[in-house]
Amino acid sequence: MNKYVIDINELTKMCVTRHRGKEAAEELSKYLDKPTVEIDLRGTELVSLSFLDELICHYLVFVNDGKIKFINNDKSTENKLSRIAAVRSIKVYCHRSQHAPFHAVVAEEYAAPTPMFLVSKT
Amino acid sequence: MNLTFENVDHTCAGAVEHKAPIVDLSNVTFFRPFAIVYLGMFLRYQSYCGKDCSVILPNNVIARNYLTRQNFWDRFNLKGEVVEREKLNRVTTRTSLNDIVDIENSSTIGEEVGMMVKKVLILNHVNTSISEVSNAVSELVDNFARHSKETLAAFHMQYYPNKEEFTLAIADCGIGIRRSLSSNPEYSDLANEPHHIAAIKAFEPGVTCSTGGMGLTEVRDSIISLNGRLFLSTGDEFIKMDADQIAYGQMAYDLTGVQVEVSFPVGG
Repeated sequence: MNKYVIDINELTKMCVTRHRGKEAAEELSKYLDKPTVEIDLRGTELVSLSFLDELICHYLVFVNDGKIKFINNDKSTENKLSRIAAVRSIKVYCHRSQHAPFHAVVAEEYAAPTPMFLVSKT
Repeated sequence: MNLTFENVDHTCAGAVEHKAPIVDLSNVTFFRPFAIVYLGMFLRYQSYCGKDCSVILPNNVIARNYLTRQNFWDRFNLKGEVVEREKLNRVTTRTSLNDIVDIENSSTIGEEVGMMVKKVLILNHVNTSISEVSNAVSELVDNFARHSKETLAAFHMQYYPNKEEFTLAIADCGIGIRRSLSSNPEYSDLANEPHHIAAIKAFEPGVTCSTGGMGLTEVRDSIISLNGRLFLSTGDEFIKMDADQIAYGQMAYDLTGVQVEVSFPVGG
């Protein structure tokens, strides 16, 4: 078996905050003897940006090389992965189900800068 | 008088005009969450500076009881006689946490407070993306716990069923965003910039004093997706943020640290 699929809920109880991301990264280290590890994000209600960033930052090279990939079918989670890919200058590989083809998420197009105004308080 | 983001700094600035600060709340009939935590941090900061503050309590019974229900006096006023007297009126409701929560620098405080907020929203059958709101709360609280360099920040939340609005506020009197960010050599130039420049910078992804830098980005994302709004004061400046724009300006009082209020429209 070339790949090992692991549910995100097996790596941590909750998928919010940097602390839980670190916890998941430490748990993930037990599986890195496999050639490829696919983390299935579909079993959780919400995955936070900080959580994903912390998890990925522990394994930037492995994620960039595709040794660690993600299974995800949620648009907002994909946006988060693409933002991390942009900020950390890496590729993140994703697919929507175990049998769907992989694609590298790309840096999302950032919107134009938010307009700013000087205002006075009452 | 409603005490809000718009005027609480003037109340504090007025208080320090006296040799021994006097906070006059006598005309206050309603407290917004920002005003409560800002006032709390003002009292705490004065205490750090060795100044004994006097507080003139609201004449309005409802406003006064609200502070009591939120355990305001226990949290911020160190005078035992006021705490004991006001405790007699402490009753609870189901639309807030019924307490101002102390945010300690612990690794799980963000998710703990996020879960507390989630319970209140579920209990009230609030029609919003409860997961996204509680995630934003977790990230905001976690951000304070990680970066304030203070043992304690204060968190307060209130659900307004009639206004169909959920509001939370969190504050500290720590080192503030500008000093925190400029401790990173990459952002050292911010030390000479106005506070609002550093505050706006902190919402960009990857911008941080140490590692990480995604928590406030996520809060900003939630404001955009849920059509919320944010007030943030740090030092002598503030920023106001909604889905479309950011405004900035001067605070009447230069309070150290960071004080934030975030509101989301919700259905009942």
